[in-house]
Amino acid sequence: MYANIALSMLGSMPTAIEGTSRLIVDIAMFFGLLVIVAMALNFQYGNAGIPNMGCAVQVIIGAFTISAIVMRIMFTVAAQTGVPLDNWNNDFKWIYSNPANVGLMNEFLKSQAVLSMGFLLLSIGLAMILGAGIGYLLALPAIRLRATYLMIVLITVADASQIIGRNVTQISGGTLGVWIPDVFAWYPGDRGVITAVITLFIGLVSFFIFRTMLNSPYGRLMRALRENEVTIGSVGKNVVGIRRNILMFASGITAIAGVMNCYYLLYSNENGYQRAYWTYWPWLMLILGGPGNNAGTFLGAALIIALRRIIIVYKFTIQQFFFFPISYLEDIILGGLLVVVMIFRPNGLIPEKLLYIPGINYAKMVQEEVKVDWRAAPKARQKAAEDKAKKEAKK
Amino acid sequence: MNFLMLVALRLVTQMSADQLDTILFWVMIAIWVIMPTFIVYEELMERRALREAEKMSEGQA
Repeated sequence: MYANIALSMLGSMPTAIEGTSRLIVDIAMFFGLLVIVAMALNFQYGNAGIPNMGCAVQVIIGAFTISAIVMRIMFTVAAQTGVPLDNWNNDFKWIYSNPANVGLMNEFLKSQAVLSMGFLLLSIGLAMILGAGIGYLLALPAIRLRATYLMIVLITVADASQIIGRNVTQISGGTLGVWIPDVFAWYPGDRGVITAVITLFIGLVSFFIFRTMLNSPYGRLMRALRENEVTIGSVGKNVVGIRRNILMFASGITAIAGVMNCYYLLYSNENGYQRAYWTYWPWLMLILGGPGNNAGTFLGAALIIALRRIIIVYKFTIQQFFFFPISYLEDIILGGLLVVVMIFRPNGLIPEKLLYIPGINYAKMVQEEVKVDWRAAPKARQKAAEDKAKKEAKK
Repeated sequence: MNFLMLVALRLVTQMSADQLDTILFWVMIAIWVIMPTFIVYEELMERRALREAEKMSEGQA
């Protein structure tokens, strides 16, 4: 009876994902992707003071993991089970047989729900490992540099990764890109919804992981490192090691965004991972919301994504108010908003607050420290000297 | 528990693709709402705790 009631209730609800529902799914998907990147950036910059300008390279590693490694594993498994795939073992075949092979793979995966989920988990796991690996490699030369030089190195590496992807066709099909098999082909409904649900779920789990880490003693160590790394080094902590670990961990999480983006678009091409989209927009989200707290990151992400989607959806209406092509408006907003925020709200919309740890009264500690009046010390010394002189005079 | 599982199993097996989409769509909205709500709640609680700690230390001083 209850099942019948539930089914009839479902039947009365709007069903197909189209129109406004499609737009909501799309916004949710990109909110999930960019929130993962922005949270990882907040973890690195907001809490540890590492200005990571190479978020794009971490995302692109996730995408390349799918197109270069997981897709080959998929093809090999499918070929072993008798799917008549075309040869994919040279540059030419890898690109030009790709659409036909992916079509056959999708047919195969329609009846293989468990295997498909296995491929998804393998993709996420591999992307995290390779993301952490690239974080380690980035850390080797860059982590000892000062902030400005570190930023320059990371921007350069992000560009280099795109150039490598463009020229080495075995990675992601060069300039043409490659299609990706659909791991949600078994799902009878709209694949966009299930991808968005999984991405948002990963975002939620990432949030809890980052939150737990930031509330742990390691999180406090990160904040101390951000404030004064010389002090941290002087008490025997390995500053370079801590910064490397943070970069590796955050890189691993950011790579998941690349994986989910690939599975959402079912296509991988280096051109889709430009640093404007995957580095500067997450930076704007972080700066606008306020670095150093997750609430600010979420607020920034929500505002920026809503703004961008409004521009995209109402582009023809907005176009009549501008003399330049509306496609440039996003970039103008990116630059303009960054300047405005830095001038008027340098701490963001939600400024970072004092760290609260249950059981430790930081306000009291700060006030006790303030009570020490160092300006009174010379007077006290003078008074003590006068007292001493009086005593000696009495003698 | 078994009853709920039976209801869920029947729902999953008898639902059409569109109905599955509808359920997932609302699950997506729920996750989307839960995340910021939880963050805002936690932020408010922490700010309140900090304020209380500050008041307490003012009283002690």
